[in-house]
Amino acid sequence: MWRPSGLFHINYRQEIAFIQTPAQWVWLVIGLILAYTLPLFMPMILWDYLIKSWVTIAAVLGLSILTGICGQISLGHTAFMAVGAFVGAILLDHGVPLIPALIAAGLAGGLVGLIFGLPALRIKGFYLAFATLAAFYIIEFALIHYFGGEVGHAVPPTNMFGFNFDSDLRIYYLVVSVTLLLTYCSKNITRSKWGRAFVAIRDHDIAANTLGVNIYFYKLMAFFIGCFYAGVSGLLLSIYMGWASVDHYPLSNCIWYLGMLIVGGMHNISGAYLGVFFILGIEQIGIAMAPVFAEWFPAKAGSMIGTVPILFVGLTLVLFILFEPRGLVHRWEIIKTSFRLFPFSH
Amino acid sequence: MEKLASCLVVGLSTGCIYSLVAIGFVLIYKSSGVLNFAQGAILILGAYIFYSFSVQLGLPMPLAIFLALVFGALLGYGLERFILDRLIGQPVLAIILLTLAFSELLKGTMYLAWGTDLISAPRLFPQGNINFGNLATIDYSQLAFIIITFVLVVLFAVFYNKTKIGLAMKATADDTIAAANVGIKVRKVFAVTWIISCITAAAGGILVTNVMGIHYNVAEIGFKAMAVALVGGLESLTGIIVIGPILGIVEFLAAAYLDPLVGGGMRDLAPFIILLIVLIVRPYGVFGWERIERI
Repeated sequence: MWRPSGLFHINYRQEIAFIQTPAQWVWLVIGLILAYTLPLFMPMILWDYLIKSWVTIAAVLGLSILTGICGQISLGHTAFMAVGAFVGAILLDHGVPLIPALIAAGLAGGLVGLIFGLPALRIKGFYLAFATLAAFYIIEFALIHYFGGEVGHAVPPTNMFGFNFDSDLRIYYLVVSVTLLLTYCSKNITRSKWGRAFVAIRDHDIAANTLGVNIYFYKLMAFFIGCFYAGVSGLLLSIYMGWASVDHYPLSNCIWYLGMLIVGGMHNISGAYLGVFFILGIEQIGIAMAPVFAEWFPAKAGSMIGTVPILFVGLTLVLFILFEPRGLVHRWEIIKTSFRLFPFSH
Repeated sequence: MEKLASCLVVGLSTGCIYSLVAIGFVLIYKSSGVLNFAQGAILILGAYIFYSFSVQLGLPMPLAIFLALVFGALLGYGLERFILDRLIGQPVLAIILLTLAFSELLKGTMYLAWGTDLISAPRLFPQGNINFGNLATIDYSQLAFIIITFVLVVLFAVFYNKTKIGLAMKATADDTIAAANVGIKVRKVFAVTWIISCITAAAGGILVTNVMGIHYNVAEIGFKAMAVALVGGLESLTGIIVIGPILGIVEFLAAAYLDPLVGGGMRDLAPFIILLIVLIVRPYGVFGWERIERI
């Protein structure tokens, strides 16, 4: 890890501290203030974008542990979100308080993920990707046929310690708080023994096994943690939407989530933030541009709003994978290094 | 009994189409190690192109089919030239994501160009059916599926085993570097592979939409064909030719006998459930090669 010169650790507590330099404290405080006051600077039309971004970050953080850190590709991530959303919505409907409902949603997503992560013990790569795709279809089928159908469940207004989450702004505070907590957790997971085991499995699972890493246990745990995040994020989304329905968790979102991971930078927690804000921003630009395109092609005006954002995001993804597969974080590191080294380029 | 027989017949003919599309996956995977998740979208694109040429432009049917296949070939060549070039040796995730994003791009384009309505394709085969003594009836189009698949597979087997370029493809699939060392133009082989796989996809699309109608959601048939390829084993052409019809039959049997129990939707689910079971029990597919991985 890079540290400014002159910073020395004199005991183990300093070595493992979450925040190590005064500058990082400053950035942390600025970041936190910004995260909580962001909607106040923004026009209300962008609040939807903000809330969805933070919800998506929670899901992509799980995916970044599962796919980015542990290397197990999951194409069924939104199905696990839907599981969390359905379980959470049913619990909230029965009067369970918000915090237990969020934890239960996460556990439900995690347990289902554990079951569908079982093939990962024997397969990887393309096979695993397709097995998780099959899992998506099976879970969606089960949700539609046995747990409430295509209509889904209404999510009642929630509150925590007497604080009602009834307006968009208040839901924003809920979502940001949960996502920041999850970020803290995943940052800590990646620098613990488990995180190192995940990285070893990602780099070469057989080599990790010969070094004494129990790959079966850690692969399943990666699935559990990743899908726990998905479940929590799914419930957050359904609280915002006021409704839990499988329509909110389509297969195409799995693709975009993996895309956000690549665009941001796979092997880094902050990559999830960059990727989500970037890709959803591109989507917003697409939505804003749709009327312009509709003017150019009046014959297809009706279908522009549904298509232009998809085309924008899809094109961004393709270009990123072709030309910058290591993502925005990598680009940012290059910029930072060149600034630090400025007038001397080496 | 009648139900069973009709399931067998319909399943067999649908399964033949799966095999046809799955050949495309396996060819590309064998030669370059890329699994093309966009196959389903290419399949429907072929069907839409065929529809545009034959109905919207009023060209005669054989010419429209020919042009659609030519379009498939051009698309395959273009994909190989501009995309595959950068994909070889990339991590699996990049390959999966690129082909998936490309498939979403294609779907968006199709949505824009042809709308969301289910278009009924012009009939390729005369209506009517053959009776097998009150037991089963087979539609002419279903019969045609089976015959066309059979003919194409035989043609393909001859091409793959007897012609020079087919043997070159076989050699490249076995070991790319060794093939390049003995003077095979590997890039040319890749191009031919992609062209063949896109042509089979377009042909499968024209056939399958003749029954199901043209809609960009039919692209999910590509996933079913991929399930066929994985169950059969990604390395084995024999595997997919055998497994395709079996999965097709299982699909219709599940629809006929399990749907009343669980309330519908089993038809689309059965291949995936079988796939998961096979992947857990025999990870390399029924006919695949078990590779031993070394550090």
